[in-house]
Amino acid sequence: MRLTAFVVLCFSFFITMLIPPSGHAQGRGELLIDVNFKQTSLKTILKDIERKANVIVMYESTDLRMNDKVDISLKRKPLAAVLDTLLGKQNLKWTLRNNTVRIEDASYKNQSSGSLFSMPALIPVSGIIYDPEGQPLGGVTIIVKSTGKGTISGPDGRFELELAQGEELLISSIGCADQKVVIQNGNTVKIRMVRTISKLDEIQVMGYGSTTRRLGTGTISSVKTEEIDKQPVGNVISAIDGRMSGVQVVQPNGLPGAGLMVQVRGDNTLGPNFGFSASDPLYVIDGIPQITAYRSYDTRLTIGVYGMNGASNLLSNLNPKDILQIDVLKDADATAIYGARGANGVVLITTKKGQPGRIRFNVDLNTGVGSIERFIPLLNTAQYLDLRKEAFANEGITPDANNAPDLVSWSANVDNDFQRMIFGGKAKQSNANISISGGNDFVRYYAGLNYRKEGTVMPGYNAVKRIGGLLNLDITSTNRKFDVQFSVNYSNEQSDIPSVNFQSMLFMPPNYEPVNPDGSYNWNPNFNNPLASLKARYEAENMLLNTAVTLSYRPLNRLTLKLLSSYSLHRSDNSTQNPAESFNPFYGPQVAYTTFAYSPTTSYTIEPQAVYRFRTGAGEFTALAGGTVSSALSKSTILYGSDYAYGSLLNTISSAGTVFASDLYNKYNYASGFARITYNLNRKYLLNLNYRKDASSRFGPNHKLAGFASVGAAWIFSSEAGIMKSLPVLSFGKLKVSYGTTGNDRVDNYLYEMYYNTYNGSYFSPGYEGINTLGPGISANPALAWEITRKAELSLDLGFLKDRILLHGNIYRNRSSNIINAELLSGQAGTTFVTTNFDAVVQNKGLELELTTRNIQTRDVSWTTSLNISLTKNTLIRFNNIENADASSRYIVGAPVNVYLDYYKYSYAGPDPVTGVPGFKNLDDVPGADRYVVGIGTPYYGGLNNTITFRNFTLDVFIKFQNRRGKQNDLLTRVPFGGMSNQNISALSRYRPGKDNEDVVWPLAVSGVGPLTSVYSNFYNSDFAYGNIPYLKIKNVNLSYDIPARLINKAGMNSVKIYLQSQNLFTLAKQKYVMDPEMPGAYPSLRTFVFGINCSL
Amino acid sequence: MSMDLIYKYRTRLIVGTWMLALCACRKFVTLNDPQGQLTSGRVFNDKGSATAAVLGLYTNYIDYTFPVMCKTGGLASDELFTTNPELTPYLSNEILPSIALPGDTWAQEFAHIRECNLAINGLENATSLDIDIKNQLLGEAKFLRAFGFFNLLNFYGGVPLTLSINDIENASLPRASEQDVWKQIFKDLVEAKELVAVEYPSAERARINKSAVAAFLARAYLYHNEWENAEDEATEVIEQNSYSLEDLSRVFTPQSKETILQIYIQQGINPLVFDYLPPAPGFAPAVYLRNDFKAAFEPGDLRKDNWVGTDGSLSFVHKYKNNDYTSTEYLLLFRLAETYLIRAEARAQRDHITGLNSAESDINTVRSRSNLKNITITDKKAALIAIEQERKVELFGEYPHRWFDLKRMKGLTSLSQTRADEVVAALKGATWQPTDKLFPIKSEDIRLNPQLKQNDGYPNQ
Repeated sequence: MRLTAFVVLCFSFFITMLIPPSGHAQGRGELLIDVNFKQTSLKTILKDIERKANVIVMYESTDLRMNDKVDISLKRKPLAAVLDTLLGKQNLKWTLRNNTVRIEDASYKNQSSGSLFSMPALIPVSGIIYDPEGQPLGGVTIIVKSTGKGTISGPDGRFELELAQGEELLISSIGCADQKVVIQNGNTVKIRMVRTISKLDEIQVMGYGSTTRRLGTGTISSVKTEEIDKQPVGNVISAIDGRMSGVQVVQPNGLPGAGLMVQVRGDNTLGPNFGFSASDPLYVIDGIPQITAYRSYDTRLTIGVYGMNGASNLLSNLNPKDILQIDVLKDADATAIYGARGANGVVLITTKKGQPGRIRFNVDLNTGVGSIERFIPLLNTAQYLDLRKEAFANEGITPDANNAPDLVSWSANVDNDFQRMIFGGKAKQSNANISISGGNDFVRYYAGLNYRKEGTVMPGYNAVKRIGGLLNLDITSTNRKFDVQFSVNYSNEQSDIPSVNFQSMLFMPPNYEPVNPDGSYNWNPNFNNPLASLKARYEAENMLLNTAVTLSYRPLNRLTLKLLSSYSLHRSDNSTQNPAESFNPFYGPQVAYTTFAYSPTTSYTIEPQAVYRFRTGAGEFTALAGGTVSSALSKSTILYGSDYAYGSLLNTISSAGTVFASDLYNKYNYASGFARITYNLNRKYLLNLNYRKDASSRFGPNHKLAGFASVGAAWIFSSEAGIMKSLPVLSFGKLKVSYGTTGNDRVDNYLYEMYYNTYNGSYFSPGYEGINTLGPGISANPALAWEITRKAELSLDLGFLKDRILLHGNIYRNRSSNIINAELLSGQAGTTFVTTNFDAVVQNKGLELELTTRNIQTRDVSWTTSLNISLTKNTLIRFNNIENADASSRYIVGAPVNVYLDYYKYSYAGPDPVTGVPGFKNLDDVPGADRYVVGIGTPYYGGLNNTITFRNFTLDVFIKFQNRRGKQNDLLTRVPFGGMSNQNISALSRYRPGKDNEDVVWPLAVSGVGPLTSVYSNFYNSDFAYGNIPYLKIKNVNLSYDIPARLINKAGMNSVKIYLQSQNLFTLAKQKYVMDPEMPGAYPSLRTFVFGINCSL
Repeated sequence: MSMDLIYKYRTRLIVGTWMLALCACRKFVTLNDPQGQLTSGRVFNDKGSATAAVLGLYTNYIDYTFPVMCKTGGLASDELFTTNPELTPYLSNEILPSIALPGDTWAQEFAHIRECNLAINGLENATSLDIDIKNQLLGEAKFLRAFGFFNLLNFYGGVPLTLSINDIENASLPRASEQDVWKQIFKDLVEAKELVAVEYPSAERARINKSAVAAFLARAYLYHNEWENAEDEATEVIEQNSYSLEDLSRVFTPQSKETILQIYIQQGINPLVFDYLPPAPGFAPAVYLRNDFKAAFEPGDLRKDNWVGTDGSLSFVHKYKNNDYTSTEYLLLFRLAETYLIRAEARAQRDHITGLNSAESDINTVRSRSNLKNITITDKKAALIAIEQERKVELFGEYPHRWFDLKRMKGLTSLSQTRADEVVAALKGATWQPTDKLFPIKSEDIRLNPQLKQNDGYPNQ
């Protein structure tokens, strides 16, 4: 009830604001207006009337009477009467047609051209505009060239104007090339628009609307379906990786179903490790902001239970083939319309819609195989045993069956390669997509069904399967005033993969045999048995159901009312099952247990909107007002079952002997009102103003509401005749500046109020005399408020040689303040911390470049190139009261926010020449500790794409490059060098007593059981295995061939394409000792080859 | 409503709708309580949940607080010994405020006091709770808060009087004087005694009744040298028919007639046994009795046989018997034998040394239970020595009785000293300083609250 009232209120608000008095042309003469002037020129008074009555007044500008000073005072009189009074005295005559008032000298009756008035006779012109597909096109701007005035076409594509014979009309619409039409005789014109070939005019989706690179004031990067289709990826977010400046895809591992995240222009908060707020962007699917009741997006689906592929999120449930395009909003101007949720950028995902015309039936089938691209070169058994013997000899320790089974008990003739044993398989994948789309003027549809199965390179059955369907339906009323879009997206992803990480097991001694001759597992106290660990399984079912309905109504040509509403259900039902035999008996009793988690999240969003477009003078206004009401509820039930009597029923809680249960409940409500005004003057000067008022349930009673605003302005200097004359190669030039504030409310719920919690019989809380007790929760902070990000940007867009070369460059600076984190309290408070806003500032600065060129464009051959590079710098500028912040020792003012103690490293100076133990440089960064802050993050990253078509062949090669800083050696762990773990071949260059030790890399080997081991703890905290890991990856290659039409037409086909695609084909990296420089220490992304066929009829 | 009318009043309409929309927004983002969680107001207006919240206060002593107090107090005095490097600073009375201590009594007791404050505030503001229930629960919460402050006072001296429910306010309070903390303890206890019922609220003696408050008051008055009050409160308890000295083997069972207040323990997790009992034969427990402690028992004292365990040359506190996760023993906070000894000491201080209703008669009541012969006492000094000795062998290990006794009792050779200065100095030599009677406050707590002053004799960081 409350909600309905709100929606009605919002609508009435928009209508009252936007509807001008009796805003229709027919009765304009009866329109009541006030005119009150004393000794004012006729010219000025007419201007006032133009504004009040929303008419265009035309007169002979040389008429001196227009400068006459007159008195007039009329209240609420019809326009006709006002004009009579005003002009009658001056002996001027007026006529009103449509919205144009023509003033003529009454003494020259029935004059036409050639009169003293040089003004040409005006003729009424009506027209209808069609889109390239032949459907009437509304919202098209029509401008009379000589006057700069004009109109906008209605939903039926129609427009009406009055103009002189021979006048030129400029017609422009988003996504279409500009057209010029000269009016000759004919009173009705029909104009068919054509799709643009310039990238500048391709549609970019923005918050609550769409724009183009030519006319937009915000900074938006887009990836379209053609680019997505060329990549055999399971998660659509992978398809934008490296292809957008300022956008990084954070991929935790290369396993199917892994939750990928987008990061836009760096961390705006205190980072994922210790911060109390999250820096995920806002994801918007088909205009519907996706919300979760948790602060961080990736915890949305999997609560409490994780498989080897980590936390999943709903993005892995989307079918890439159903996606039309992905747009990422970056600067203040583009993101401020999302107010409190726009601080970390906005990712807009648009699904495919039906196009009017013939029915298109498309089948796409492909199958492929993936494998590890590169393994780390490791020591063989002989080299390994040498190292081990040497380590014992160095310390004078005798190896025995306890401290060195590898030397004493195990065969020296076994040479196992665990990398290939565990990760050496082939990951098969297959995909099937069927879609049907089409429609007519009034009904359009897109329906798709998809199936994907992807395996892993590990032994045994491991697979993630996804099945899903999408239906988009668009219905328009016959008068084209009413439109309904209906969308249902369902997908179900099932995982059956291991639950543990095998990374540490890749480097076991090469002479270790995991299985004894009798078939039993070979256990030892030093490491786990990989074959046994494979028995621990992660079984999951992640379900996504997104439904949305958008109603649009155009009561007037200029006004569109919209109501978006959506409902989503995201559900995760998963378990990790650990059979008794998967546990190392040396680490404790082998007891089977299973953890089950059932986590449904439901959410709804309702967004009423009103868009009003109108022209005055040479300018065009678009005003948008709207509101959001959304609510998300996430629940989770976690059951922990143990004491299973037998291992064959670990997949049910019923057969567990002991059960602990816990549950979680989180609710998040959010509401806002927003407005935007865009002004476009002569397609030369653009101005965009945003304002948004937000309300979030995550803050205390007095801090729930906050306002955010932005301004963006652009100057298309290529529209200035003078500049164009002096720079003939320049075809487009735009200078753009934006500034604004956005917010972040990604914090935990309920922090403003202290709640009592109950516990359910876990032995951490035993209850009292059989009663489950209640206890107070963490400290509340009713004053908790939003994080605020101030974004400033300056950007330049250039087009050369008729837009064959397009260059975009920008510099930006984002500063986030009011950062939320824990403030430590002295122990006497009885609680350790309170969540609060700190006077801290996190800055992200950067430079982004995007270059697109059409190198060759002939009938048979075309070659296009696009390149993007981003340079970023993240700095913690200020952190007052840092000493009272949680983990205060971890943040360093002046360093990036994710520098924490781990990134203070000792500086390794090679082995000591005398003793061979690791030596370190003397440093002063941290007094007395000889540590310094090593660089972290990604100083630059980018991508280069080349597309070449030759007749029916198309070849795409996409290269991603990065310089990131991080771990250079996957093998350097807490096991000492020389301990019971294999090492990469660089270990051959090590300090050997009594040998020539010049230029050796590694220090003296130690066994791990002797006293020298402790000397090595600083070595593991040194920069020995840490540094720059620049790399370049041929991320994607696509080769496709379109079978010539004459061969397939007989078979009734429209097009048939066969293709070969490869992902992660080749990596060129400075570092050989990590499997995948993109994600060191994780299951790598695979080199995949896919063969497929796409048929369309 | 014609368009023109709308147009005429458009400003008012816009402002009006905007205001209404804002109100609607604000209301929409104001949530109900999350499932599984309750606001204080709802907790304390319902009998069941209010009781569950107050019972939660008792559970605070189950986990770590209580064993840590017993261990650290016992080690700092002449009772317990350890080789655990985390605990040896207590053994040598050389505690460094900069080093994180195992189980932080300061933080744990203040966390308990925070919960008591919240309960007291919630109960005082409760409008729809039955008055008898409300009074009983309020009395229990006040008693438990006083217990928290009592422990803090004895370990640290004057501590901040954190009585507010505003954590941030509490976090920056300076220390109160010892006298002010005493005042607060007595205020809470006197009020609690008015509020709670004569009978235990549940079948066991695991919640507070009037006698439990009296027993605590007796202890508090004794520590505060208010002899007459201490004697009166002790007498009030002793004269209750429901309490009697129990057979030594049953003193620590839930059914013990001697119990005045126990903490309920779920089967198997009595926290004291983990520290006191050997994990397996031949393995030393975390803390055990000093070698010479056994010598303190007179020949024939049954307590030595019943309450001291032996494993080889090692002797350990064996009041609680089982460490095999099957223990059904509760944690004893107040029992009748201590109350007798409190009255004995109060009577001795009031010079009722010998004869009927004297210090001597109370001491002999306790001695006779342990199969010891009656003693005859002639003067006050002898009485006080006898009481100290009796407390030592009767109350060892179950609460930091010995540490608190040594700190509060006047020296035998010089009245300006305490017994701690005599006994502990003799035992530990030069590592003992008179300032060691108070434990230090963690330097991290001082860093976070500069108002807080460290105890004398400790570095400030």
